[in-house]
Amino acid sequence: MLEIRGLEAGVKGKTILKGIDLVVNAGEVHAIMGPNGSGKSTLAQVIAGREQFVVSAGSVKYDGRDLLELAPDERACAGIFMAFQYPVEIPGVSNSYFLRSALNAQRRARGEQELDAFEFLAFIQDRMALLNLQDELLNRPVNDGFSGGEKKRNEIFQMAVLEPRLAVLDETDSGLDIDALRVVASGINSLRRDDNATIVVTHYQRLLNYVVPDFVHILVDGRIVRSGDRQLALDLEEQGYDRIAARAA
Amino acid sequence: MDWEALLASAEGPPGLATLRRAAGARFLERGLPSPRDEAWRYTDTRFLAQQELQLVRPVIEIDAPDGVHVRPLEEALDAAEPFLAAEAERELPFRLLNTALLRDGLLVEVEDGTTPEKALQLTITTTHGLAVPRLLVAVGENARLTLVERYRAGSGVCLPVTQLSVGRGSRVEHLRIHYGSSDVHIGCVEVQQQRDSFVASHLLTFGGRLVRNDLSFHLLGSGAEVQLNGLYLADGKQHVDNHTTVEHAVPHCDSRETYRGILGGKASAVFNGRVHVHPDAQRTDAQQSNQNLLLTDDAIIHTKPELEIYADDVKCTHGATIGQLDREALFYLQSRGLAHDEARRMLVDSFAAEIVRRIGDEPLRNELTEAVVARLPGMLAEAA
Ligand SMILES: Nc1ncnc2c1ncn2[C@@H]1O[C@H](COP(=O)(O)OP(=O)(O)OP(=O)(O)O)[C@@H](O)[C@H]1O
Ligand SMILES: [Mg+2]
Repeated sequence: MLEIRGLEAGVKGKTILKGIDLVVNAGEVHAIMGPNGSGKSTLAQVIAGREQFVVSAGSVKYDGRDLLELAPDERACAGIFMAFQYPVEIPGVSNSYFLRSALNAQRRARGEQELDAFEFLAFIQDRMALLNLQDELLNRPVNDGFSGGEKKRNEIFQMAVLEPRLAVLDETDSGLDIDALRVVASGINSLRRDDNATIVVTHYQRLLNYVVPDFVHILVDGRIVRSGDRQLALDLEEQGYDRIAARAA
Repeated sequence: MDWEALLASAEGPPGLATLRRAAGARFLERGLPSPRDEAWRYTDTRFLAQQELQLVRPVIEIDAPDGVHVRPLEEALDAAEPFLAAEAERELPFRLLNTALLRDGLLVEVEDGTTPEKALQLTITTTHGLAVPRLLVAVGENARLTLVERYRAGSGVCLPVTQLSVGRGSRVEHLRIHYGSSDVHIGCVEVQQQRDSFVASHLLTFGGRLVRNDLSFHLLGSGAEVQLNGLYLADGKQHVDNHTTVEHAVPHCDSRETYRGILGGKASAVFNGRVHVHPDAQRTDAQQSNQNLLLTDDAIIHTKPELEIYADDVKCTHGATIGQLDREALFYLQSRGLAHDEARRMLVDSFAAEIVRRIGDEPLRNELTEAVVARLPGMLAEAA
């Protein structure tokens, strides 16, 4: 589904990603872990199409297509979704209006009928329940004044509504309390299907107890230094990045 | 343009002849404002002198609810007297010109304790020529009024003056909407507020070759409160200038001013917000904010707060911002599937909606929401 080869990317002449290889197949969950500043969010944003990051080498293929050719909205319509590490506050745009517009844009792109306000409300009911999202958050401006945890829940709620094929979740577990973590994790799990895939970026093994990964990758200084199964995350928790990275070198 | 000939040929109610002559003499003496005049530094009206303007009578549609009395000025000269007494001594040249040519005036009265169910709506259309509508509005005590002035324009020059007096304990929502594109619109609004009155003023302008509004609010009785909301959209080579003044003359009054502008093309705009707190006006609470969204590198905004505070126990805040569309927000919207254009439109629309949503009257709010939606695609396409 996603095939990244020799990817180098950076910003303003600074190289952040220094040759990433990563293959994600349908039905898989990949975890990416790594120290602060190692390039995890950069990778997520390059996949989502943030133009500020310039790709200087390598390729990213999505279902065989050149992903880097596509605008961010085209990627979204093709089924890519990134949950932001720092969801953006957009005062003045109501959460529900925004999400309905986004869903309809994607439905249009797929040649499906758009949903009116009424149909949309019916459509999102069970997804709101799934994430324990209050009506009130739906009517507020996008992320505006949301608590850290509410923002993260809102991201996964959007994912539940948009039903992406490839979801990249950038530290969606950070800042969640234990209960919220369970809610969000069960949200993620209930959206798992054979034909979609998830990349979770996280610092904590804790999330991986709920969302069990098929593969774990360790990203250090713009490179994947080790890949393994979920045991790698447990080892990492015990030994820290220094020793894991050193063992790779 | 031969102003003298224009003034000499203009007709009007005989009862106003003296006033008109006096105002005319003063206008001729002072002439059109010069850019050396600080208040007109960025707004050059001298091109008007090069035109041959014919005086025309604007078409005024009136939709008055029960409880609101509307009379032509010439049939209401006694009631108009308090509004007009000092008009020949005004400073603003175009207000003097309006007085000097005064003919198409309306006097609106809302008696004490009256609460009309619907808005008083005036739609004033000037397709060409020079029009000088005048509106005098007297709202009694403990009354309510929603007043809409809706200006539609072709390519004419419209110099509308509105004077509004709001009695003790009354509440007024005033909308001045200007749907223009290639016209000249130089308007003036003066509001006098008595004790415990509340006025929400909404000024919404959608463009014009040259638009200038001078609004002044005189808080004359304690407990008076005014909200000044403004939205100005301009693109192409349009120019919009809003000068507002709040006179805090007595203690314990509040003013809240929020003006927002969206500028595309090579448009230019001016915001000048004067707040004058008189020595006696302790416990004044005055807030002012002016925010501008520039859609192109060529658009220009001159924004200036002008605070004159002569009392010591007061709260006055002001802030101005000039910015472009938030890239982070744009990316966020796009990353969910909204095309670049749609994402931009959504952000610009929400910026404007912050002002429009303050309109209390729902049908009017909807009208303005739609007007913004209709105006934006052109502005955004030009800026793309
Ligand atoms: N716009 C930018 N301008 C300059 N440097 C940037 C920019 N964006 C990211 N960087 C730098 O690139 C590096 C990688 O950042 P990135 O956000 O990808 O790290 P991360 O692995 O997600 O870290 P964290 O765990 O703290 O979220 C950091 O050193 C960061 O400062
Ligand atoms: Mg990060």
